Amino acid sequence: MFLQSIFIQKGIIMKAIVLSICVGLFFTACTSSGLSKTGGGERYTYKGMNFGSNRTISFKRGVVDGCDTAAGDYRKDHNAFNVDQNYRMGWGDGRLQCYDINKEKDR
Amino acid sequence: MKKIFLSLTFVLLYMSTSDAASYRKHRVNVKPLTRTSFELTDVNSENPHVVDLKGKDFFVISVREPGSDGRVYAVDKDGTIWWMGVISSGAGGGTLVKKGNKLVPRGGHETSNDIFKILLKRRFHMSQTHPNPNGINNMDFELLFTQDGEALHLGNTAAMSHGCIHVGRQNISTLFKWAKVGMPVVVMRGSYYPFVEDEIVQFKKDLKAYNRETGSIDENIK
Repeated sequence: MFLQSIFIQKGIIMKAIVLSICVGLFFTACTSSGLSKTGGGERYTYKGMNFGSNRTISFKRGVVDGCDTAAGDYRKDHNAFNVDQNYRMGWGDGRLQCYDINKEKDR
Repeated sequence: MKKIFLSLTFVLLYMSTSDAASYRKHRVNVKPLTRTSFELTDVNSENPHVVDLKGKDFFVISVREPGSDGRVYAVDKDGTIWWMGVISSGAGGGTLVKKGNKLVPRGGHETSNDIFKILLKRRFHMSQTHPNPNGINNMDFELLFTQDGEALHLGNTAAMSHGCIHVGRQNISTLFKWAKVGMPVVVMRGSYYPFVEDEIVQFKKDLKAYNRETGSIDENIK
């Protein structure tokens, strides 16, 4: 009787483990399929603006410098701008997106 | 005979000095060839030579006159036009006088064309030739670029000047902070704005062709 109850309890525990693994796999599968639909990777936002997914560190550094420059605080790593395409694109993208188009008239 | 010759020489010398004084404006014509290179010609649009400022931080001022932009541009050492702002410049009012077969401007308050250099930076300043009667500084954020007193400074962009470049409050502190003594200042007639448009179009194309996986620009898409 005692042994039987142990086996029943073990069965319940096994079922619970199998079930939790299945649930885990299900959610993992959902997450990865969702990512692939959106192009993959973490989205990079700066000052509330979307600068795309899968951005490199140097691209992000470029965005920050370009955005500060657009606000009037000139920042640029000239060496990186001339040799690193990621930084160059980030700097330009940051400058364009952070540029307040409403101020164009005054500038 | 000797006296006549001496007095004639004196009269000729006086006339040439007088000509030189009235000849001071627009001794140079400046035409932009690229974002960083400029063709300079003399007052008769002759003797051209090209100055390339690539690798230097500099200002371009296209004066406030018909056919020009009325803007100041800040160009960095990579040739990026990173800032621009509305300006007003010299009020003009000079006249063209005929000298031989040539028309030469005389008088007025026109901003001179040329490639100058910033001679000094002064955060607070009052004009000595045109002081404000209320004692309020009228040349704050001064970036002096000629010995005659022509400078970029904080001023009313709705009013023309005695030859200086008035820059509005929203732009002058940015430009003043970036400027350095010795930095070239290109003052020109004609438009420089097409280079800004080219830059924006080119960058948008580059961004479209940018491959974020490899960090390179796809020449086929471009």
